[in-house]
Amino acid sequence: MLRNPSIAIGGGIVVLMVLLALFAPYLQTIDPLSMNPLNRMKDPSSAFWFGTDAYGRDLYSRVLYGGRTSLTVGFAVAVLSTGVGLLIGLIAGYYRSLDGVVMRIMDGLMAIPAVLLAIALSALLGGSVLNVVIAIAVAESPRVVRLIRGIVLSLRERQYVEAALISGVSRSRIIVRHILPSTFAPLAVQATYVFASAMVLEAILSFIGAGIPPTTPSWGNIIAEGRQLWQIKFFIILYPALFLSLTVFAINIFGDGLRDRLDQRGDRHL
Amino acid sequence: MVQSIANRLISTVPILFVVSVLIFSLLYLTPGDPAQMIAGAQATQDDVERIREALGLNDPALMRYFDWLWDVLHFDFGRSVFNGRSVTELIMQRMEPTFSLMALTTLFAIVIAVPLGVLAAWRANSVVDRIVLVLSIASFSIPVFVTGYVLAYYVAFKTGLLPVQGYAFLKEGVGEWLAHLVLPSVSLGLIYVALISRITRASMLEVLSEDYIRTARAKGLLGRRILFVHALRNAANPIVTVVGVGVALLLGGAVVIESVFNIPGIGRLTVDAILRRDYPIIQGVMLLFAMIYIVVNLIIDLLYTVFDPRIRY
Amino acid sequence: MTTLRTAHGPAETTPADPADEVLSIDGLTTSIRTGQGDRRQGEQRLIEDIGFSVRRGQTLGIVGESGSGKSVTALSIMRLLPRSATVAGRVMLKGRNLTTLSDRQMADVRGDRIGMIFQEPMTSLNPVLPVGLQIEESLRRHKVASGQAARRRAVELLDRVRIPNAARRTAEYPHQLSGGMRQRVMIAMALACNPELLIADEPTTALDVTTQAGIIDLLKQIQADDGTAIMFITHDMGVVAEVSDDVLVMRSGRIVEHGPSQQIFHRPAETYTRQLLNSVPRIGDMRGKPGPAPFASIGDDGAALAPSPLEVAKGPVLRVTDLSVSFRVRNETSRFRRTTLRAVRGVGFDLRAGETLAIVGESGCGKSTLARSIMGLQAVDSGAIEVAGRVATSMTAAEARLARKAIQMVFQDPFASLNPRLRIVDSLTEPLTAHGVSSGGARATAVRLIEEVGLSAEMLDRLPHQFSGGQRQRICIARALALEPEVIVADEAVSALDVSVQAQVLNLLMQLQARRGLALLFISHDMAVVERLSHRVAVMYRGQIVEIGPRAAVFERPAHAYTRRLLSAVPLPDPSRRHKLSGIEELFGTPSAEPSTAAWTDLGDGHRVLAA
Repeated sequence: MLRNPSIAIGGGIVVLMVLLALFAPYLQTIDPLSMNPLNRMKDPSSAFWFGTDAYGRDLYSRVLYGGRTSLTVGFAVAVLSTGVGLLIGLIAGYYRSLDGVVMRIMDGLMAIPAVLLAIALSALLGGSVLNVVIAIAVAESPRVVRLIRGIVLSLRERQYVEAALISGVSRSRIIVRHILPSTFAPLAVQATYVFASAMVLEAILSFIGAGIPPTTPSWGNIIAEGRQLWQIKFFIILYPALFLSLTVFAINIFGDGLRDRLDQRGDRHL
Repeated sequence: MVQSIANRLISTVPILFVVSVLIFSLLYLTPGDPAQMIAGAQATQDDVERIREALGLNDPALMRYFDWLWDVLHFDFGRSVFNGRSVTELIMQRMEPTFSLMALTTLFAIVIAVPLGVLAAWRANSVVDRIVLVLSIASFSIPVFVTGYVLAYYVAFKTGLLPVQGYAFLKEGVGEWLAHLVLPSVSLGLIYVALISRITRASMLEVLSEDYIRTARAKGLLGRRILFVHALRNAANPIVTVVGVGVALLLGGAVVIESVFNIPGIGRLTVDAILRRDYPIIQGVMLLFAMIYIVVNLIIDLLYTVFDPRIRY
Repeated sequence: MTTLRTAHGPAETTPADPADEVLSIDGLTTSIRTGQGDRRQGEQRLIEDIGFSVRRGQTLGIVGESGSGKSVTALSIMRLLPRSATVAGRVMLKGRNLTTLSDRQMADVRGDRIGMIFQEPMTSLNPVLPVGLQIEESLRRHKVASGQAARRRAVELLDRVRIPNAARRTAEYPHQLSGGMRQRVMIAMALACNPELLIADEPTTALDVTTQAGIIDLLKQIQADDGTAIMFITHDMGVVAEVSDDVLVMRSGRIVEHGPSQQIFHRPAETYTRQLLNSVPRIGDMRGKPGPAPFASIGDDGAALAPSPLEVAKGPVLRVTDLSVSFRVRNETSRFRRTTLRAVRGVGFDLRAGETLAIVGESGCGKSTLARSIMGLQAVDSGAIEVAGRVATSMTAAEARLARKAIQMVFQDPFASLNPRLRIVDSLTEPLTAHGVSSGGARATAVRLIEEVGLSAEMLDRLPHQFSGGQRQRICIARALALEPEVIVADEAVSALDVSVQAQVLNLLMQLQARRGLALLFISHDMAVVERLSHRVAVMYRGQIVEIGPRAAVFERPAHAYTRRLLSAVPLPDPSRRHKLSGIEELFGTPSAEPSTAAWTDLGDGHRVLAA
């Protein structure tokens, strides 16, 4: 930990953000959903730490609660994409007969820009936390598949795998004993990148208007709501954006630290 | 050579087929009746029926798919559900802003990122290297539209140095055109710069540890020649690969940044279409983007031969 | 090829003239900082107090096993080590101390006054630059020639290292040349500016033995013409004996012994040198011996158990009949065109219990593909493989799994063939549990196995990285024995090991064979090793067996031209038996494959040769 400051710093910030989100009900000043026309577009002050938005809602409290949604989306997408990606990647890498079909589908998915695919899926499915998670996971998974498949392909050529094959060890046992454990480290690194990228994508979906509805505040939809007022009340965009970017930055450097520590390569993208 | 390019083209057919199926099936994702959704709550039964007919929802899915594919193969993407205009025509009208934005961004990103990556690799683990690293992670971490607004607010709106929003067509003069594109390109390009500079650094670091670099040093060659003649050409292929893959990033980013800067390009067309569920436009644009991606990567494949004599087609 | 030959007199006859001294090193000590940015920062000595000198026209051979510091010595002289290394001591080149020069001054010396060649000609040449340019840039850098003159000089240099059609070759890229030609280009590059000193760091290790002979011959020729001083670094005692006037033996970063070649090889003063020499198999040592013979006095109990001569009683345990294997490979010139490579063509042989059959040949001859096909790791086109009387090629997967129990394999690289995450006990018991043995029973067997290969039971719970290469190879052998096989296929199983370790592992294999009556299919490129442990030998060339027969017959009366060429190209670890090198030619063109009319000639006693 001490030898790797990026893991410590990145991890520390992430933990802090998670704690803020968890204890939002105790840290909030004003109900994040209550509108008050008298307090519209107030600048930051001792009463409204981050100011108020166009409906007079308290931005500080909204940002606290927004963290809950954004972190949940990031985490859920990371778990879903790595899980699905691992499964499909193992199958494609080990069963060569399925590889061609599976990889053409992945190539097809990757030919459509991830942002556009996520926007389209989310908008057409209808905005809700679940649909946003599904939309982003579909856009993120192909890269995980490709990563895992590549690892499996190189592992199955290893001499120790061939030695096991020669001594009569069954295929399923070879996968469980010799191949699966070697995918965990790169998968963990990739999961952090997916986590980070999913949080950014969530914000983009909200910005376009295809994201989570504002009744469930997320960092993304708070920024999106500030859009109309950006020339006069820039702080409405600034505060949630700072929280979002700081968190994503922390996850990214945590991932880089993890990669250096585990000596893995990752496939980063947005 | 010609034969090989032909083979390569043929190998894209399965991918295009998958893309077409994916894009086509988007229509069936919407919960409930898409025609009803498009028409809205106040629509008459006739309106809904007209839209159903226009989208071909009355036909079986498979038949509808082949009809659509047949039209697409004839460059007919259908007509907008809302204003009845040809999708092909709508896209053509909005080509210039989007392609200007992308070309300028690519150019600016490569010119900045490659030297930055080489520098970071040459002085690996130095202060310069670390600054480049932190900046590149930062640009991965800030959503592209936030960068756009920050630049628009502090650089354009506060100072008035550049136009805050909008687009000037080339025929209005290169200066105007450029002035309107500077901020969108910079916001869009930051991630691209980060991506390219990091792969340049990684690729150069790998090459610099190769035996032939030691040979070059054993010949008494000096730094700059080793770096740019011996190392960079060997490091080139991973870099151009990322440039190619990054096109997807750029296309996706353009969709967002056009909304921030109010640029009347394909991205805006797409966003509007998605929010209104104008399926023929959505399908047309997505297919176009996928084809651009595939064609760019085909060209990249051919570029490999330029840098590496071991690869022949 | 050329008829010029180097008259190589022993070095001690020439009186040392101080003006002739090219390089003189004194107290050279190199350390490297470890664990940068870490609390456990420390310094590790790589070499310590190295001192020697090299005269004009002299070749100093530096020999040692891995980790002896021989390459670090060369890189310290050239100052090509990473920045974290510090070099102390004096390195005098023609009276100039190289350690005190600035970086820029040192760069002026490199390539101009000192030329260097490396081990891997494939990776040491820049793959994306034409070879002519790579030679020219050295000339330009050191202002020896420029423009057209540099171009002409590059052609002359390629001509000088005997590359045919030199003028045309300058425009070619390294991948278009053969391994031997690439090393010739490296030599041309190193010689471009007429250096006083040439440092050759394992220059022939990556090459086939016939190619090696050509390169050594070339270096001798150049030295005779130019009087260049040569520092020749190698692990191969045969090569050292072949080239050196003086020999320096290194171990763990220090000099063990230094003296004239004849003295080191015939009257070594140090125990380590003696052990090293005893571990080296020499071709001809086995003349008159009936069966394989373990290495004597190398610090293990190998000599105690001499295998008895082969008793041929039972039928074959492995029979390969008319086996052909081909694969579709990516064409070298086009990524999308594929060509068929016929790796194994109509190979057949029998292997009996208790017998060692060696398959010997150079890289690319198909010997490893043959091994992999026998193991079921590679699909075959045609032919039959019978293991213990059952036809393996026509079996179902389940049958094949059972049949595989009878035939097991030991791979070349001991570092790649054990799963780094599994404890040794898990690797050893894996084959057993796969065949239904209970975990308790498997553990007991693992204890017995690891003791049988000369390790102790307490090592079972360790991970592979805690073992040396030789120990790992012992573990791999133990794993191969787990299923009580009748046949062991060893694919270059000792090639990655240092000679002293190699001798121990070979002794182990011979012991195990004698004790268990194992049949051994020993695949190797090393003629001397093969002579030492095999009963019969098959020589493979371009996918075919061209000669097969009892060891004595093949080594003493080689019938095929290729076998003869192979045998005469092997350098002997004996400086008084040189001179047989010239005349060995490296084949530049592609020799036509055996004509299809080739037929087997029986020379009696199972000695057969393929001839037109």
